Amino acid sequence: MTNSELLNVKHVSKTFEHAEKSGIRPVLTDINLAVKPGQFISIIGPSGVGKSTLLRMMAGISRPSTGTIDFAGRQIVKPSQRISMVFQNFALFPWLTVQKNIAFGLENSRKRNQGQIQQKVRDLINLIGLKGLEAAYPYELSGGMKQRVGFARALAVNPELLLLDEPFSALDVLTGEQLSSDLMTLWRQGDLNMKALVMITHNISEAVRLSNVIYVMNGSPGTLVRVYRLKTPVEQRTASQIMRKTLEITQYFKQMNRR
Amino acid sequence: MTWLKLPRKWQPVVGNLVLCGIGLGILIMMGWCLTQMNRPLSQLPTQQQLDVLGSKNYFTFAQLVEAALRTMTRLFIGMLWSLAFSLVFGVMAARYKTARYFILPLVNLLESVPLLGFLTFTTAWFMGWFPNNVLGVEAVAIFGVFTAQAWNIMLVLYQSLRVTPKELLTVADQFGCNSWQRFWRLEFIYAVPGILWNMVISQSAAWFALVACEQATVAFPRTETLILPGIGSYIQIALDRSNFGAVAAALGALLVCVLFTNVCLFQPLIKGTVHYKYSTGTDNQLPPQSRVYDLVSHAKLPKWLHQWGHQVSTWWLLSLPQIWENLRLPQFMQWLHKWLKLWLTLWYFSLGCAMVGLIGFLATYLKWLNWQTLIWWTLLTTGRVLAAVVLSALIFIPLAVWVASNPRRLNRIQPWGQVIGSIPADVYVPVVALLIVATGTTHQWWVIPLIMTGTQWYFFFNVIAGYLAIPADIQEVTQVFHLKGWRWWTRFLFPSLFPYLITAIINAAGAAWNADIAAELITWGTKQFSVAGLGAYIAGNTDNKPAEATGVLIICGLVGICVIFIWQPLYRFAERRFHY
Repeated sequence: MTNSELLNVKHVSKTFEHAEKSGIRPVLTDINLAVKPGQFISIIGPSGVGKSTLLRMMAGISRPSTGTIDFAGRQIVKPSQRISMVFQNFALFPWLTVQKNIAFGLENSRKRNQGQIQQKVRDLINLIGLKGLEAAYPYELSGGMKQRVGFARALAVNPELLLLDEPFSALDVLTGEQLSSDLMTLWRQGDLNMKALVMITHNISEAVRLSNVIYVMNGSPGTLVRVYRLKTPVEQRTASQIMRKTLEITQYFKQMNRR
Repeated sequence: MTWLKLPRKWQPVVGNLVLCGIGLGILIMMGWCLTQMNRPLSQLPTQQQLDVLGSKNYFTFAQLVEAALRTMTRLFIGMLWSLAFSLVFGVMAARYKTARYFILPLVNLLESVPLLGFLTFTTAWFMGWFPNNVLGVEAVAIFGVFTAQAWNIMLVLYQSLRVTPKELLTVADQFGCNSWQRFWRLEFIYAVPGILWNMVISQSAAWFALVACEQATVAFPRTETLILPGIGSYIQIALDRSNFGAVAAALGALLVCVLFTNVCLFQPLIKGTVHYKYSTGTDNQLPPQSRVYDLVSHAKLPKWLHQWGHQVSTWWLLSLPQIWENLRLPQFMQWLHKWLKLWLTLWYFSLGCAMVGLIGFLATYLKWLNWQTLIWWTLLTTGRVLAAVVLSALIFIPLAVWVASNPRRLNRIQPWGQVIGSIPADVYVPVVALLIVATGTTHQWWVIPLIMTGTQWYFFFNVIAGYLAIPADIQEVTQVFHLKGWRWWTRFLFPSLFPYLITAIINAAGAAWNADIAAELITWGTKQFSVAGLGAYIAGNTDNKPAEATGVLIICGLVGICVIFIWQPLYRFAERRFHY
C-alpha cells in the first residue's frame, strides 16, 4: 500500500442476506481496485452486476462483508466529509430551493457561518452555470439543471474524492455531453480540491471519452474482469480514437456474454 | 383570481395584514380561552341559573360567539396534542422494532373503538385529574379531538417514515447527518403532505367528537348540571328547550368555524406544501387553490423573522442532539432494549390482569342482564352499521371517481367537499329530530342516513386520493386498449384503489360505531326518539355504569375481532399485491 494511493479497495466482497427468502445472495466477490490522485476511473458493466453496491461501499454508506476499503490510509467505516457523491436521479430535496439544496452539506457542522455559506454557494452557482436560479425549486428545473445542482451540492463540501453514480444516464444525450465536458473543464482547471473521480456508467463511449482507467465488471457475483488503461490524455483524444476504443470494448462485452 | 388583483405596492401590506390577522387572531383567541380554563368549577353557569335567567337571555349573540371561540380553541389544542403524540409514537414505531409490537396493534384497535361509549369514563377520569377545576371538563373535550385525529396522523407518519425514498436517505447519510437531524431535515418534511391530508380528512371526526363531548358535559355531575360554554352545549340546551332558532344559530356558528379552519388554515398550508412531494415522474394535476395563500404569499413578515428563525433551527438541529448525548440517553435506550423480553411479558401480563379484573367486575352485574335482548340488539346495531358502510361505499365511490376523473371539476368541487366533509354528524341530528316531528315518520328510517353522514366522507376523500395516485401511463393503457364498462371497474379501478378502499373502510367502520351511538337515541325537548339497538342501550344508560360498560365492551369485542381477523390480513394483502 503506497502513500500515493487515495482509495484502496482490497479483496472486497459483499453478500446480502434475505431474511424472507432465507438465502444468502453474493453480489460482489474479490474486488481489488486502487485510485491514485489525478485519476478519473470508470467502472462499466451490465445492469445489476453490483456497480452501485461497490460505489456505496466506497462512500461509506454500506460495509463490505469481507475485505477493507481504505481512504488516504485509513479504513472507511462511515461516510467521510472528504468524499462526495452525485446521484443518477438527482436526489434533490423537493422542498428546498436550489440555494438551500446546494448548501445542504455545509449546514451540518456547528460552525455554521451564514455569510461564508452563502458566499460559497454563490461561487458554485456561478461556476456550475446556474446563475439566476438560486430561488428556484427543483420542480421548476429541467433534468440538466437539476443535475448541475447535484454537482454543485457535491462540490460544496470540497471533497477530495468524487463518486458519480451514472450521473448522465437520466439526461438526454446532448445535455449529458454538455454537462460532462463542463465537468472535465472544471477537473482540468485544478481549482477544486478534488484529487480523483470514480464514475459508474453503462455508457461505454462516455467512459472512453472521460476517463483514464476503465474497469469492466461482470459475472454473478460481480467481479472485475478486465482493466483498460487509456494512455492518451483526455484533451488530445480524437473522435475516431474514441469510437475505435468504444467498439473494441463493446466487442469484448459481446464475446464475454456469448460464452 | 382576477377580481381581487391588487396594485403591486399594496400586495405586501395586505399580505402582512392577513398573516398577522390570522396568526395573532388565533393566538389571542387561544390565550383568552386558556385563561378562562383555569378556574374553579363553581364559576361555570349551571342549569338552575339558566332556568332563573330564562332562555331568551341565554341565547344571545355574545354567548354564541364565546361558545364558538372556545370550541375552536379546543380544536386547535387537540390538534397540537395529536401532532405531538404522532411525532413521539410514530417515530418510535418506525425506528424501534420492539416498540412496533406494542404500538401498532394498540393504535389499530383504538382507531376503530367508538369514543362516545367511553365518554362517561373519560369524563370521570379527567375530572379526577383536575379536581374542582374547569380544566377537567375542558380536558374531556380536548381528548375527544385528540382521539379523532391522533391515530390517523400517527399511522401516516409511520407509513411515510417507512417509504422515504432511499436516494434522499443516502444523501443525508452522505453528508453526515445523525438520525435526529435526518428526521427533521428530511423524513418529517417528506411526511408533511400526508400529515396535512390526514388532518383534513379527520376534521369531520374531530368536530364530531368535540361537539359530542361538550354535549355530554352538560349532564354531569348529576347533582347540579354544569354548562361548559361551547357550541355542543349550546346546541344541547337549545334542543332541551325546543328552541329551533337557537339550534339553527348554533349550527350556523359551527359552519362558520369549520369554514374558517378550512379556508384560513388548511387550504393555505396545503397549497404551500404542494411541492414537497418527491416524484421522479410528471404529475398532471392542477395545483390546489387558496385565496388566503395568494394574499399571504406577498407578505414581507416571514423574511423579517428569518434571522431569528435561523437561530432557532440551528439550536434545534445541532445543540439538542449534543444535550441528548451529554445526558447519556443513548446508552440508557440500549440498556432498556436488553430487557426487551421482560418488558413484553410485563405488558401482556398487565393486559391479562386488566381483562380479568374487568370481567370479574362485570360478572357481578351480569346476573341481571337479559342476554337474549342484548344479543338481538347487537345484531340489529351491527346490521345498521354494515348497511350504512355499504350504502356509503355504493354511493360515494362512483361519485368520487366521477369527481376525480376531471381535473377542473375536481378543482372546483374539492374545496367545498373539504368544508362539507368537515361538518360533523352532530349537525344533522337536530335536523333529523325536526324532520321526524314535522313528517311524523318514525326514527327507524333516519338512523342509517344519520350514520352515513359520518362515514361517507372517508370513502369520498380516500377514493379521490387513490384515483389521483394512479400513474398516468396506467390510465393511458386503459384508453389505448379500450377498457370499458364493467371490466373497467373490476380489472382496473378496484385493484388500483384497493389499499385506499381498505383504509376508507377501516376508518368508516370506526366512525360508524361512534355515529351509531349518537344516532340511535336523540332528544328534542322533552321527546326522545330511539330505536332498539346497542347504541340506544349505551346512550340511554349513562347513569348505569355497569350496563354502559357491558354495551361498550361488546362493541370493543366486535371491533377487536374485526381488526384481528379481517382488517390486519386485508391490510397486509393490499400492501403486498396492490402497490404501484
